[in-house]
Amino acid sequence: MSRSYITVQAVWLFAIFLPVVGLAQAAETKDTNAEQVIQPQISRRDVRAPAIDTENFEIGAYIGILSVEDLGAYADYGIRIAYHVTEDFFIEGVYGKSTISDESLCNLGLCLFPTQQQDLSFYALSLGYNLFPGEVFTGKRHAMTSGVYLLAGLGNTTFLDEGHFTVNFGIGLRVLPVDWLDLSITVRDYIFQSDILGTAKTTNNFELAAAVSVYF
Amino acid sequence: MILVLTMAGLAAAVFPAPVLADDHYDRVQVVEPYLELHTGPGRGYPITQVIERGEWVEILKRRTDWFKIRASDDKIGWVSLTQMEQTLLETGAQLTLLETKLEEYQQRRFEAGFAGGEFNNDPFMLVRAGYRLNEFFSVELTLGQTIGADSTSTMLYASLLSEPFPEWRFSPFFSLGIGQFRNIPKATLVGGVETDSSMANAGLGFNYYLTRRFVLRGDYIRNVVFVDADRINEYNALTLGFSVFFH
Repeated sequence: MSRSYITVQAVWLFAIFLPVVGLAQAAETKDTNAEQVIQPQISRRDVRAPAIDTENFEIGAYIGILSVEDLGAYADYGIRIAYHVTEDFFIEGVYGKSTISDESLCNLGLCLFPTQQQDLSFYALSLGYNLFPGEVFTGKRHAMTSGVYLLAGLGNTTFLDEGHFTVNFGIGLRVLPVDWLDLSITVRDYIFQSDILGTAKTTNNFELAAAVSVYF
Repeated sequence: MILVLTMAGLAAAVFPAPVLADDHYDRVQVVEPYLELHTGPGRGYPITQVIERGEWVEILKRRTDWFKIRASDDKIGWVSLTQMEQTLLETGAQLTLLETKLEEYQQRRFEAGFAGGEFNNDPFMLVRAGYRLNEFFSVELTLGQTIGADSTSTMLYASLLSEPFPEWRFSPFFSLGIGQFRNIPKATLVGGVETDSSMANAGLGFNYYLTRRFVLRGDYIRNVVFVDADRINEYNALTLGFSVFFH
């Protein structure tokens, strides 16, 4: 591909954008001189929208157990951010870390890692659906709102300097002791292709995580 | 000292005091026969109490389209937006709570979202955040990652978007972007070299306003990566994702 080809592309793009710029300017210089014929005799009403504190975001941290197929189960931890779009749907991002090891394979004479301990990190962007809203009862007098939710999303899992495109599915239970505090337990399957044992195969990597988040 | 103050400030921001002075909250009067108080912010939570016509209630907070209110006798619960809109402010004006609708979408200022798709036939994911300059133009920052069989590429680019028909529910747009493209080959690949290059792209896409704060968005992007003085790689990217918007 040559430089002149890029120039042609650039010119082509300007050609696309020029009419848009024109359109924008035309819209801004619309006739604003239309005279108001009827003068309304109504006094102005207070249409101020009240300043209500909205709490649609959540931020939190979690610890859990991540089971990496063929390698074993390891402690992991991470952070999560969620945005509640409607009462039914929310968007969630998580970033987690763990340290994995090839010890069990090594014991069989199959050492795979350059050093036995390796860092693993992952992120996932998911859409959540609040399936069963409800309440949990603690003793005779107290109830806390709760909810069972489903998650599905995309992300990346990195270990041994290799990224793996990851699809995740999960189900969780959240309990809110007070309105702004969210305690949750999530079980999630992180699915990715791995060729760690020589041939590429789809692996299921389950995570059980307990999170504490606050609404803000 | 400064650190402590900052921490205290942060703590105050993250954990707001649960009860503030009473005069802080807006009061509204019930004019419908009654308001239904749910135990949580959703239609699935049971209604345990009602508040009758004529009573005054304080609005404590809002979560999605639900409002936490406190009645004069200290009853607390969550009321739906539809019912709250039937109440009156102290001035006698109807409470305008702005249900998120198409009109609000058309006046959006900030937008954020994520998308998935393919980049040169490899899986591709991205997050983006945008700011609308005016009806027709917005600026946007995108962070994307594609995971191929031999390498992982991460890109960060800033774009200018032009939306010629912002009033349409299904609204096409053009985009132009510049940024940075980093390719890290897999450790097992022999002779693989990490590259860090400039990139530029041009795209065509659409926004489709779904409901509330949700927007469906699709992009076709032609990326040009300037690997070095005489090597230019071109990649097509196709993505579909969701955005949410704010004011």
